[in-house]
Amino acid sequence: MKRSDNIRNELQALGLERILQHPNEMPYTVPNGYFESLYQNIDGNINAEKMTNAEIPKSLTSSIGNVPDGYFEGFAKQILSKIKTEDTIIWTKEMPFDVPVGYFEGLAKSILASVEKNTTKSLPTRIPLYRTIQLAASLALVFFVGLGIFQANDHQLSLQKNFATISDAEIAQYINENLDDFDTDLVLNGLSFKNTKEKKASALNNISDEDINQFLIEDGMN
Amino acid sequence: MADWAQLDDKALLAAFGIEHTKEKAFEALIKRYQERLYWHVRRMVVHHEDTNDILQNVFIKVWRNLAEFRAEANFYTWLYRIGTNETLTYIEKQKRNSSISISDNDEGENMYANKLKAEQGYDANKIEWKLQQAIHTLPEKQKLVFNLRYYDEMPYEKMSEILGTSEGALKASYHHAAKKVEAFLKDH
Repeated sequence: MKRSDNIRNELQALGLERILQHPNEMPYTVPNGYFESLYQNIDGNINAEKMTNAEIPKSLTSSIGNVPDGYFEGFAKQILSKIKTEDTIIWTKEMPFDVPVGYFEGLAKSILASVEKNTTKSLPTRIPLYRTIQLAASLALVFFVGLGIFQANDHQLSLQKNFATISDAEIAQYINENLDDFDTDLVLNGLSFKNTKEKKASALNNISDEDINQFLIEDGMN
Repeated sequence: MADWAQLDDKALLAAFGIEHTKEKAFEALIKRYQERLYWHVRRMVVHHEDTNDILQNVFIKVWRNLAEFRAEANFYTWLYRIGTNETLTYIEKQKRNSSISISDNDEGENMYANKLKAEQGYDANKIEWKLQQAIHTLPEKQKLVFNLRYYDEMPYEKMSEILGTSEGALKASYHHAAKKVEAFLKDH
């Protein structure tokens, strides 16, 4: 069977010559009379085929296959008969089970009643194992993060509480004894000014004119 | 009396919408496409019995959904798409029933090797059977693309409509598949 140039060229361009040595026919065996009926069928439909967009592939016309005799001849009728049978089944698809009288009429009400009764109860739900693991991991993460934040806050709170118990006199005495530990920047940074500008202005206000003059003389700016 | 085989798809689809011509139109559509679809399926599943089961399901689905089919769309493309989906679903089910993991290509290969061996006239030394063996080492979707291109000689554009994949991806898939087939033929 001749392969189209399009397919041949494509495979050659890929350097796949070996495939081209193989016949592009299906190797399944042929039941008696299959070829005859297949050709007749195709020949009979050839004009109709030209009217459709799709062309019968060349490989099909020479396909070898283990198809039972007359399979294609009866196929359409077989399908129609199956559809009809299924349609009939749909019409006779009633369930043979009895339902208590008035069951459906009262069903909605009874469901609503039981839902209202159990609104406070949580419904048990079956959670798959991987979801349980995900949930446990999330809870553990939330717990440890929360614990860390709580401990940090607690530590800060306890420090603040301890500082609050120290009297001003004790603080003043501590500063006098350890004056070297406090430089100007540390003291200024410890004050709660709204912004740097205000901070600097406030710091300069506390310096006497004499000190400023002294600073300017020493730096040779006066 | 109308010669149904002479009518094009559009006319048959219109006739399907009329109650008293519905069955005749459907019969004509089946007759027109049954063989093409048969081989499209059989190349994938190997056995005639499996092919027949799939083909029946496909046409029953077509019967049920044909009324909703848009007349401006291509019936042939739509039919192939149903056939392809039905075939892939069937194969997945078959692999599940055989406890073969869908992603496990080695086990899938064994399944097809056994199927081919069971076919009448199988001869491992004949080149046409070797080519079948090579094709059945491919993953299902690659196999599908290879068959549509190599046997049906289907243009990538049409293939793209059927499989809902870009033409570029299909070309890449076909080239990849052809290289694997070539490599198999070289080694066996």
